[in-house]
Amino acid sequence: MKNEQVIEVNDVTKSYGKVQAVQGISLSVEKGEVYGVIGPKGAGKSTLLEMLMGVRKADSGSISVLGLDVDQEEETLKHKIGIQLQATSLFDRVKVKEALKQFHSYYNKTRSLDEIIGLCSLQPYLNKYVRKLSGGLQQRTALAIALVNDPEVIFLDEPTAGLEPQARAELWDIVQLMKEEGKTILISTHDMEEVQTHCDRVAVVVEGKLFASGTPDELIAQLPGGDGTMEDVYLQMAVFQNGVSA
Amino acid sequence: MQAMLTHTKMEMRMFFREIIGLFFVFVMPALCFYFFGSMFGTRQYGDMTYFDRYIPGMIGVILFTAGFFIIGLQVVIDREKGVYKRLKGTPLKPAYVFQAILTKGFFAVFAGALEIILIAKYAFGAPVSGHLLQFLLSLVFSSVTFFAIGFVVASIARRFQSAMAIGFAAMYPMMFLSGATIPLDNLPSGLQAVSNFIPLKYAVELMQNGWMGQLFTASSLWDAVVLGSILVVGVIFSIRFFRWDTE
Repeated sequence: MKNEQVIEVNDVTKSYGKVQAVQGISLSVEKGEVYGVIGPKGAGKSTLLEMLMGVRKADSGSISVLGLDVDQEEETLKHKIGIQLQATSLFDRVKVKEALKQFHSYYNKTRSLDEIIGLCSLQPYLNKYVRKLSGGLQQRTALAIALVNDPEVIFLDEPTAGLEPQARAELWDIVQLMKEEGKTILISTHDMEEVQTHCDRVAVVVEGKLFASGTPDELIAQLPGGDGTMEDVYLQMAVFQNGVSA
Repeated sequence: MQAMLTHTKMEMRMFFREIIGLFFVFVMPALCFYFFGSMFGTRQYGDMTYFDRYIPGMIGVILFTAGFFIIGLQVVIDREKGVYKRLKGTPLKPAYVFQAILTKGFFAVFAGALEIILIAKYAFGAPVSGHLLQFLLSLVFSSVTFFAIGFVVASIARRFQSAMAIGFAAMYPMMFLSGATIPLDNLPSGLQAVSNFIPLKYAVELMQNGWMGQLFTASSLWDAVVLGSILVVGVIFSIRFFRWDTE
């Protein structure tokens, strides 16, 4: 039986002036998958994710999420997806609880805030300013905000960047919980060990192009010798192909 | 509707937590007004008392600070933080975000204006204008013009530092060459000529006319035309160049 495709990207491009950030990427993500996007800095991962989230418009190509065109059916779609940008991107002087309530009010369908607060272990920090929290807690707040509308698809742009191992593990635990609830998650990350553990499939993006995609095992099998880890995949495919020394 | 109300409430809450904005709207103009009023409050300018002239004058300074700092600078700060980009990922309509910014701007202007009028009344015993409706009309029209200038600043400045620099560079001419705080007649003729290029001059004159009940006379026409032109150019410029996000 063919699985339901919830994200379909066809030949999408995006340029900033003369810089071609994304050059003809096509991919599809199935319902309930945790889909990783890996690649070196500046490879176009964030631009790709932001186009899928509907916060940037593609120059050409088509993107459909949950059967909805991201440009044509923008408003309907935004009720159904949850997003976390690379930076926390909240008002400078907002407290955790205020931010959660603010975003909670934007949606028709919502999940209980108490449940989300419990899920993300934010209870002790509700009255603290987001900007005064550690990087890990800021990211957890941003992730909690991404969950306020009980989204069917969750986009996470490098949620573990710059975090300590424990904070990273906590974030991946939440991702795992979301997966168990049947949500589809698209995540860009440099966290190769966790990619190998948690991602069903992975796209390797290099210089704005889709270099390879498949399950972690399939990508590892493509390594010289057919053996190794996702760390080796990243080094071989994403870094060395890009002409950057690790 | 709920989303619009919550977002507006949040903008207002952030306004009260932003020290720079509060200082330029509620502290600096009030202190200047009290200081100048104590020194020159007994002066008379033809049929206008000092307070007839400088209540609208100092409210003009608040218009400027609201347009440049509460709107222009804050939009640049929020944009730099990625606030608008994040909001773009929600179903919240950009019109609601825009509306909340304007509401915050109007609140700053009205609250600041009330503060100046109350200082004039209770600290100096100055009477309140008997033409409040005309004054209010001139205040709203001038405010909208300065909010448009605020969006022009936010269209030009990509970074907080640039917006701050524009605000400070504009502040002194706006305060001292517009007739908002010192009489233009006292300025050397060269500076009087420069004052013709200061937008606040026209807002102050229009509000003075409103305060005196002369808003619908020929003396307001030129001020209204200049402010109207700035508003139209500001809106066109902002539509063309303003971005909620930096790419």
